[in-house]
Amino acid sequence: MINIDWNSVLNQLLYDAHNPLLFNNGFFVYFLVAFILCYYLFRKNYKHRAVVLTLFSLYFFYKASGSFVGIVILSAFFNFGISNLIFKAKKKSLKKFFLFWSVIFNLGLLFYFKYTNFFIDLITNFTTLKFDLIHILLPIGISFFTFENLSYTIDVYRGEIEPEKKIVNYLLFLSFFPKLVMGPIVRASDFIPQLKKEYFVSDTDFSKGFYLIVTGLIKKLIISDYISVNMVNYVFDGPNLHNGFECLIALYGYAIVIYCDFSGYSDVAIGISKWMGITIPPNFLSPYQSKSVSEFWRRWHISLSSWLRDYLYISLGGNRKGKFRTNVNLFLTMLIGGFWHGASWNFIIWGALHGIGLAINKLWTTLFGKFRILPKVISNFIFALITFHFVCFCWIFFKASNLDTAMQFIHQIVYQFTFDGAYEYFENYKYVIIMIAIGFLIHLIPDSFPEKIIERQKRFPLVYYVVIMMLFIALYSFFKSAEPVMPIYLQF
Amino acid sequence: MNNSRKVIILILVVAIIQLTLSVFSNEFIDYYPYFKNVNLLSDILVKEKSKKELHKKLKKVTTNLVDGVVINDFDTYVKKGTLVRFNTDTLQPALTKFNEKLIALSQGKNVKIRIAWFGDSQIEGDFITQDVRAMLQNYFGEQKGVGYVPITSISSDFRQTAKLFASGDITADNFKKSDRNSNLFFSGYSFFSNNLNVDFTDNTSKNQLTQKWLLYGKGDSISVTIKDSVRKYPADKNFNKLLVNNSTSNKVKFKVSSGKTPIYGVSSEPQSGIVLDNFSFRGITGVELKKINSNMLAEINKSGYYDLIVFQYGVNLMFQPNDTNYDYYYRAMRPVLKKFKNDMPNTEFLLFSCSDRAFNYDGEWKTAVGIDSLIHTQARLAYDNDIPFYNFYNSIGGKGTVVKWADSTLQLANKDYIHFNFRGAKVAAKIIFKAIIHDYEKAVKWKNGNKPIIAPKPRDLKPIPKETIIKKQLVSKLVVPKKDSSKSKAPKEIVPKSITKKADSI
Repeated sequence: MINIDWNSVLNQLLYDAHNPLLFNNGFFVYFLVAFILCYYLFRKNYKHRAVVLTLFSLYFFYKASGSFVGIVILSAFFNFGISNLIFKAKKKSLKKFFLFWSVIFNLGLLFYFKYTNFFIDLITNFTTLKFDLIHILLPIGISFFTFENLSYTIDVYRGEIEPEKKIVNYLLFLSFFPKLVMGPIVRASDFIPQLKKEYFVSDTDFSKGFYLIVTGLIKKLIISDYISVNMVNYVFDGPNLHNGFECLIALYGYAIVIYCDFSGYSDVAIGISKWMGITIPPNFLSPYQSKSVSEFWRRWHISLSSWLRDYLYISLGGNRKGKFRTNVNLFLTMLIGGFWHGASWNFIIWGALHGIGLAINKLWTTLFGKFRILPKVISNFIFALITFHFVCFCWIFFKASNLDTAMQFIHQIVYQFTFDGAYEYFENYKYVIIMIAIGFLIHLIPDSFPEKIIERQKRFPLVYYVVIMMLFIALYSFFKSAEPVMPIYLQF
Repeated sequence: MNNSRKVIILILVVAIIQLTLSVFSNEFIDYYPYFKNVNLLSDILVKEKSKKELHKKLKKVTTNLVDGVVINDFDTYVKKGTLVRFNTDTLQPALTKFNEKLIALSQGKNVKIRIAWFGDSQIEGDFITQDVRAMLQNYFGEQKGVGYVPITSISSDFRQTAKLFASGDITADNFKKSDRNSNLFFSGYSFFSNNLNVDFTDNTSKNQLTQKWLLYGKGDSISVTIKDSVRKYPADKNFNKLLVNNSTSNKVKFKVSSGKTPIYGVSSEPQSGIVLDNFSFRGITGVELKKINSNMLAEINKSGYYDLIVFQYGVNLMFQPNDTNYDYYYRAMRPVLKKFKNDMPNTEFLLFSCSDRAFNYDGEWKTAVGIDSLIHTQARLAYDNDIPFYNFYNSIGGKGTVVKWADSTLQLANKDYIHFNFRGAKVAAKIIFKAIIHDYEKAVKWKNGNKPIIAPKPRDLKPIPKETIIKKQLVSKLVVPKKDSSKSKAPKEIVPKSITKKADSI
């Protein structure tokens, strides 16, 4: 009846560069089953449980990124060691000395893998020196675990936490598989204590985990991938072939694509963690409902924006050095935040635009914050609309493969805008447009709605969950595209 | 209550159901084919080799031996990397007069060679042609010049090789909309304005003497202002040229008041050397060229304006993923080619096959199923009209090329799986350039061997049926990426009635 190719089975266990392990791989089902059985088996002893979880996490990373798993292990040992040294050092200067090396090591690693070619290119273009670009592959997740390492050593230096005494716990904090490849960025002080508790999943945790996993997968695999493959990718590939109206719709589409892609993946990570009895705070809170740029950053990629706030903005002086410096600090934080996303001018421009947006936002609040001319509902709506369009404008730079394409895209919207053929366009793209509309509708759902579902679900029998999961799989099979659509944040 | 056990049970139950379904998938996959997308066993089962694959025989390029000479018979249309002239010696060049002029140019003679390159959005913004032009000009004397540039076009902002800022009240006729019923130029456009300001820059040439011509059609007269001096010029011929500037500057500014005279555009060209004019028109298949009237063709022929005309069409014909019969295109395009050949005896022609285009078949992007049939049809058009043929599709890599190009890390094609990006266009241009040079080298050898050019000895092939009954085709689940709907419609006049689905043109 079935004829299994055992060679393929063995190959499946090995890393395949063309098919890195993600939550939607068939292999992940086997992985999850094996993992959850072992995890459950060792649930009583938290030390054994931590070892199981670490081994599975490292294997997950190996399947996602190959031999780069060595870098995670190396950096875990280094930071574990140096954080203990920082802690034990009596003199402030010695603490500073160790912290300095920790920053150099972590950022050095990130710079080597992520930015070497960018700077080689810069030097070659702006000086008479000539270097050849080096072929460097970017280890998946390096930007995320570098920030986790840094926040850890800085917290130890600041005396906010005591360093972990067991390397396995630290290694697990760094490599915890649900969040390793693309976040959320977690803090050791939130994460490690949870490892030492009993494996407990409350009614709410179970229901919420299920809700997050299913809706997260729908957001990523159905909504985002569908819009991406069927519209956004090729409009951004050749904006010159599309008029301004079509480019604008594609831009709105991209706003949904990036939100559903990233928040969907984050939700699945948070949901799976919930099922393991580990709580990771939410990473997105309907960001396009924001009424200002600063609110947007409180709702978008929260684990990154709060990291930037705590370790970069505050380290630069935050708002303690006068208004002018506050704005400069904001700008620099966003600029560096942009650069964190990738070694290209487009990301730098994207970060800079958000930095300027935040500064203008602050100025506006200072000048006009107290005036109220229009009713609150209307003014909120207008501000939300402005914020959304500002964010969309910035996305052009984020998505376009280079500056020329971004400029071309803007040019099309500004100078080639026409409604000619809009009817045919809607006819042809109706399903994509419906998907975009669904994406926006998800945003308008009040927060109380999911809570109600989660609460009600608690009372349902297991069969309900099985049926919903199977329905999701059936839906996914219909929409699944042949080529895997890599999550956007996998490259960062 | 601790739900940890519930987590395990849920995961196990769902995994077991899914695994069971996967084991028995053969039983129901015909009813729900999408299950293959979530089959947990698909990666580890022994794959049965498809019968097709096992029995696949490589199509052999057959050649025909006549009087001891190897002759290109019809089947040679599949050859890649070379221009094929059917029914002639394989060693003889496909293009004759064109190559003779190239040889003269390479010997330093004062010759101007002009190529008209027809195409759709694949060559829009001077894509592909800008690179072919640059390579040919570099190879033959380094005399630069961008050639023809229309007064306005949808891709003018995007085009890198030339900038033409046109202001004033401009109206236009084109292939799709012709209010004035004016004589259209090769570009498919004619423009009218009584206060046209032209500010033109040729970005391909610097510090080299270039002639800047204003091209216009038949009307009453035309008044042109150059450096504040206004002059009226007659417009009595179907195709007129006026030298507005002959200098080493790559810029020119002038004003035109055209009245009823159609203005076509500007041509910037070297004194001698190669001129390559890009005539892109989005969403067409070549059949539209019948709207260029015979008087225009005859007038252009009279002055020997064009040495070579290239037709590069095809992707717009594959607007439905399951189309496999293109006989209707044969019937519509044949008279167009015939007309060009009859009206322009001084010009040689070259017909390109389409390039690769892919569709989403059940979730997987693959080369259009009808592409072989379309190329066969195009080759028949070339064969029956005695026009040299270039298999562009096979030359760039054949089946699966555009998918590979669009999905590679260093992308060469857009995700619409039709258009090349600038990198891909360069790669394609290099391949075309090599084929042209290959033909040129054949000509050099042929000439050095003092062999006379022998006219082809045509043999008739099986006729194409007059009417085609298109069977109701299965339309598989797909999402058709549509390009620029505002300008794009399938050429209505040649689409059989049975095709009702919206066109997807480029």
